[in-house]
Amino acid sequence: MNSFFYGLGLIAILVIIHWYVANDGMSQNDGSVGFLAMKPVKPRDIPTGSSSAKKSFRRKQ
Amino acid sequence: MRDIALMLVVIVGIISTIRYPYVGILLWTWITLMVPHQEAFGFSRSFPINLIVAVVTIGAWIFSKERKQPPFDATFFLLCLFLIWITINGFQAVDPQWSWPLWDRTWRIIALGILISVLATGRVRVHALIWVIVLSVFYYGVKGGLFTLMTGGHYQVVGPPNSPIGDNNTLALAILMVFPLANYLRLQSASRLVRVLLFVAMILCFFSVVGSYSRGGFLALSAVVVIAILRAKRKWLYPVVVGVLIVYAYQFMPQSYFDRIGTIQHAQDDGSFQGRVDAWHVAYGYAKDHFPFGAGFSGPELPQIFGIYEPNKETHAAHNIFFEVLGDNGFVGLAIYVLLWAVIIWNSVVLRYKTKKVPEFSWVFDLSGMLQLTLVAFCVGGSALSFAYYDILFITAALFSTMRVLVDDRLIATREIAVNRRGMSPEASSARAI
Repeated sequence: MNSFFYGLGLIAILVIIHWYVANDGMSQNDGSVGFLAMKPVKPRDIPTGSSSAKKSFRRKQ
Repeated sequence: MRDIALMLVVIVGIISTIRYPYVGILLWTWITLMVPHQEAFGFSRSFPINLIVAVVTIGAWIFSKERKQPPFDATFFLLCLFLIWITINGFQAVDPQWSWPLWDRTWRIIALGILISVLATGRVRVHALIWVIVLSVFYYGVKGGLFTLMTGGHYQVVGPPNSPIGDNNTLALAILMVFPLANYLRLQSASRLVRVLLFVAMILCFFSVVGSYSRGGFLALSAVVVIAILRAKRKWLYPVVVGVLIVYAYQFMPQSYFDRIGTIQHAQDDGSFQGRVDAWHVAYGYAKDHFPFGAGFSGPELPQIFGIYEPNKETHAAHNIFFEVLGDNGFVGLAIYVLLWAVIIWNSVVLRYKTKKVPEFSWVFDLSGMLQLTLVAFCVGGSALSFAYYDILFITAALFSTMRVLVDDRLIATREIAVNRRGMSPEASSARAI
């Protein structure tokens, strides 16, 4: 079982490195590719919440 | 066989580092935290993998187009100051041959911390680093948890030999420090499968901490659980999960475990506790008599020093991170260390405050909160252990530093855009604000 875990540990670090290279190294830079993908972030400029907040945002635009 | 597999992974990592220097940071962190060469039984145990990866990473970074300038903030300043001071203090060590190898390990940790603060320039990089930290420590946590469940908790879970997490206490604390980071990954991962796997791993790590029979680990676990429950958004979920785990562990663990944990109540009568008080007395006495220097890394543990302040008593390690630094590096070293702690806590509070209502930085808000829990675990567990120079503290300092740069730059840019949209110059806006 120890060797199995050791092998799993080695594979896991390769998966992380691959995920990093696929997302950051290739300049996609949003972390949305692959098994370890992150949840997308909401851009700051897009208001969330009530409709009045959205109207206010459009008015400011 | 393990040696060959490890070498193949390291070679792949080094080749990638030449093209992408940040891969070197990930590899370096992995080797420092997981010490995979100690789990192999052949030539790689004595092979300087860590040094080779460090040299290749620094070389690749210098010749790359990556940012060269560190964030010139309090964290960077204090990390450099601490490195300079422990080096100067090293020449005053009681037994340099004893102290320098430990210094050698510490300077590399600080160098790694500084490099992280330079190169972790975005969310993807920070996220990858957190994955590496969690993988490195949870490797032992998951294994230990399964071992505890399979053996009925009758045997102690210990870490890899010849590493900072080699004994049961330090391994338990390291797992607890990484516990909140695993939760951060669970919160931020898009894949449901990944989230479930992380949750299972966290449960196994809970059993690993229990199976370590560590009293310091038990106290740190209690502190982390209480604070996590108090801060949880879903107030009912954490108590239920924790309650189920505690009830199961209570029925599962043998009487010897409860006997061991029960000695916390009578700590004053315990010989081990008295030994710690003696060690604190030695650390304080030496630092006072040799102001501003300390005895060098683990110097107060040497019989020729311990015997002066506590004659005819058995030598003991400091078993407290702050007394450890005091005895090793004197009052100046302690002052820098405490200031570093203060800056880390300050950065965490500021980041939480600034990102609380910014959806774009919800990940910074989550990560700062989880890193605060990491610090709580380290502070509570570290009050009963000699673990002051553990890598995760310096990595945490670097992460807060780099996240502050990220958040401040973005918020300033957003404010300027908003000002320009309103047709005002930033200067005019500032003047009006004043």
